[in-house]
Amino acid sequence: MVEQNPISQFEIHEVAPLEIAGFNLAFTNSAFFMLLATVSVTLLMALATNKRALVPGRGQSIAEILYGFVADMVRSSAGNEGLRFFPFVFTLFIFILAGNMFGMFPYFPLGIEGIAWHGFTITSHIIVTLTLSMMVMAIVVGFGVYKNGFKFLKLFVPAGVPPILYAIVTPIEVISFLSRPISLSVRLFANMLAGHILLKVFAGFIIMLASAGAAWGIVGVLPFFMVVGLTALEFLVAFLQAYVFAILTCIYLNDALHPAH
Amino acid sequence: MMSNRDQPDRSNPEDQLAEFEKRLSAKIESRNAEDRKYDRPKQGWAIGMRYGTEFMVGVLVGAAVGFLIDSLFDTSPFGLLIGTLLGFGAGTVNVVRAAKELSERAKRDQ
Repeated sequence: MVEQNPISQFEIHEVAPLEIAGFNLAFTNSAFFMLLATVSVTLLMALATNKRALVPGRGQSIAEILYGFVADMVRSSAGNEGLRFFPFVFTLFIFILAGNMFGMFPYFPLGIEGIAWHGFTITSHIIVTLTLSMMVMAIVVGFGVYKNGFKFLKLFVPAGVPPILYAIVTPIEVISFLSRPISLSVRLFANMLAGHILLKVFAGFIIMLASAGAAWGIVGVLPFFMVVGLTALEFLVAFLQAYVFAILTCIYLNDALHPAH
Repeated sequence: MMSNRDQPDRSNPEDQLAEFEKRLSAKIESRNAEDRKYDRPKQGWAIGMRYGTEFMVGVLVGAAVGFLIDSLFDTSPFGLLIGTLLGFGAGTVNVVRAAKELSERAKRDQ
């Protein structure tokens, strides 16, 4: 039966219950999709690059294009020094991209009671996106302090400001810095959540109109076209948000490398 | 000349390689510039979301910091008031930074 509630797609279900020392460590649908993203990307990359052909085939071309895309992104916003973070940014980008894209496909046969086919977007949960952005911030602060020592605090004391104004500017800079991980995670989460709710709501209109009887079913063509358009838009958003997350990561990493603006 | 075709001139491979690299990167550069012309307008949605969240989150974090100071030092309501005001400032700074960075990238892409 088709689920009509547009929110129920975000519910966490236990696939394999597991409890250790009173903590519920069940393998959930969320964990399944994270694992799926990780494993499929790793397999894709391993298979694509294991030939190491001088003239790349289709698979290797995809891997090389992805590599070049992310490397360009890192280099253009964090400089050549930033390339030491390339593995991190690449992993982050590809994980979010895979998670978003798997979220667009609603028919995974997951052994959950009462649900035959299942779809889930890991990035539509703020705990996932916040964890990712906190990881970025931990690296920015950790590496920034490790590399620059106390000079890292120059981030909060921009040069060329009259001394009196530091009383206002420094708190503003601190708040601005603190807001980064939150804006990073909220943007990704809100985009995915809103997009998937919108899709479900418009798809629900089709079902409602079709079951209203008489000629209402014909009107149902309108929301159907809307859903087709929205699906395309969602694919775009799925890519763009992964891109935005990765490029902002690079920009923040640049601050860790060069704290004085 | 015919015999040269099978045996390329290897007198100075480094020079040749550098030359080839230069030509290749010039080609790639012009191709990328051409490509970017087409994908620019699609990013409007993402940019709008960017500005919106940057500002909103600045205010929220400022208010949260103020509230935290209030509850730690019993200074209610001044922490919240000042924190929210500074949060507006931080949100504006965030938006200005985002705008600057996006316009810089747009300039570089041209």
